Amino acid sequence: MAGILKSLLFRIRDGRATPRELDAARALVLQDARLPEELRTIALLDPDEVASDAAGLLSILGLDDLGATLAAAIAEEIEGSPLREITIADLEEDDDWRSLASILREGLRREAGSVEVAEGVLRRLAVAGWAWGPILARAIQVEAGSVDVVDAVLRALSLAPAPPVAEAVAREAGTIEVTARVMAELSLALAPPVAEAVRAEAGSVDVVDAVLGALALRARPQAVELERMPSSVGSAPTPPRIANDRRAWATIGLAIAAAMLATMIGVAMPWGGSLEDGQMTFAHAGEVVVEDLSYGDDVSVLQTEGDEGAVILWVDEEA
Amino acid sequence: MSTAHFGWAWIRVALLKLVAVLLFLGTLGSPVITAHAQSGPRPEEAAGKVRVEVMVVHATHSGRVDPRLRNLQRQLDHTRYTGFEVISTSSDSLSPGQLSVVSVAGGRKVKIRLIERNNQQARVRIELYKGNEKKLDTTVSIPRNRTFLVAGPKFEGGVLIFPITVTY
Repeated sequence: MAGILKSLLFRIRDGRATPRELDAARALVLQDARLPEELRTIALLDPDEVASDAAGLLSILGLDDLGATLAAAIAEEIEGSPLREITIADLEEDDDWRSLASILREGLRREAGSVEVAEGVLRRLAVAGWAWGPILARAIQVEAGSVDVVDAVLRALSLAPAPPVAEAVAREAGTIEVTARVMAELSLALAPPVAEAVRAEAGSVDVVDAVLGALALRARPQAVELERMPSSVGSAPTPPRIANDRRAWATIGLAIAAAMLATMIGVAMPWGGSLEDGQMTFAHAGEVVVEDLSYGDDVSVLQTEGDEGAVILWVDEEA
Repeated sequence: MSTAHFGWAWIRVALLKLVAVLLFLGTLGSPVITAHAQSGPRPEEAAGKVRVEVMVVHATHSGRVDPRLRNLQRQLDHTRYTGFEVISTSSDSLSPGQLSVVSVAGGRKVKIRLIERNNQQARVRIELYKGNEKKLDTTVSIPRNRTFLVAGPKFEGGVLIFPITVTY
């Protein structure tokens, strides 16, 4: 079955597929567990994009390395658009970002039990560049060898690698071997806005203080992109709007960085979980909707909040 | 092949791939989810079910705190209760429409019916009985993988607290 799909995708990519073959490929893609579910439902649907979709799918399936070509395409898409000038406001207006954010949010919520970190970091993170991209790509490549294309793209786009960081996080997460290996590949200096964002989200979680403390010893000025980053979240400048609408590339890069950050932090933080491991994550006001409330004549009910914001429905039977 | 073949959709594909890989790495990296990573999606998720866990906690003035309840204790610092002990826990995997009944100390019962769920939250009906007398009846939308607290019923010098967690 995989061989058939491969053959069909090559034919589609090269513009040689018949409508029937296209239909067959769509059917196979929909059932192919090797592909992320989000892709299965959007790939090969737009008649104008089937060739590019097929190329992408081939790469994802590890059947074709199109890195250099893709890089050229991306460069074409973002022509003249300085990625570093993307802002949070840009993200929020971007339809592509919303769909990606939804995927990230869903995945993080499912796996980590809490998504506030990613969202919170993202909200606070002023984007002055996408210095993390190459590093993330490298880390991914190490863990998931078949994604060579990503690294190739980044190299071709001449996104310079950023200088070192993250050993502190790696140290905290040292017991998780896979993560440590990923972390070992990371070599970025944690820029002040990122640290601010992490600190703001981390609150009283002790391990983060330790991480940030260690990072403070290691953080050092970065190259051009990071010099442009604001020194605090509150004073983040508003860069000029970019002219190019194809900004989701940087957008998603940021999303990935945020997700990676949240994932790394999640390794060391006791967030999420279930009753079994004693790590209840309480629903807070704004997340919970209480409806159709009724109670006995001798009962009064008060919806209140705990000291750390958990919603509590307090039942007093002696009213 | 010409770069003209590679449009925006392909870029999306490549980036979604990155996201997928990162989420996969996150799965491997988080201790909370290691077990799930090894065994694939949670059964509840695969079957459209929701795992509803009800813990029965006795809040008292004893000063003894079950280690599992440290974060609950922090939520209730403002109360006069200093002791938090687990009386029981129970869990059920519920499909929409299914009911779970938990017997609670003091002749009480907590009934929880899953009404529906989506990707963000589970909508559950919570009924609290003392004997045959219904004390509370409400419907609550609880965010996925979060815990909602019902508290207050008197019991042996303290109160009962019911942390209700929906997981899927």
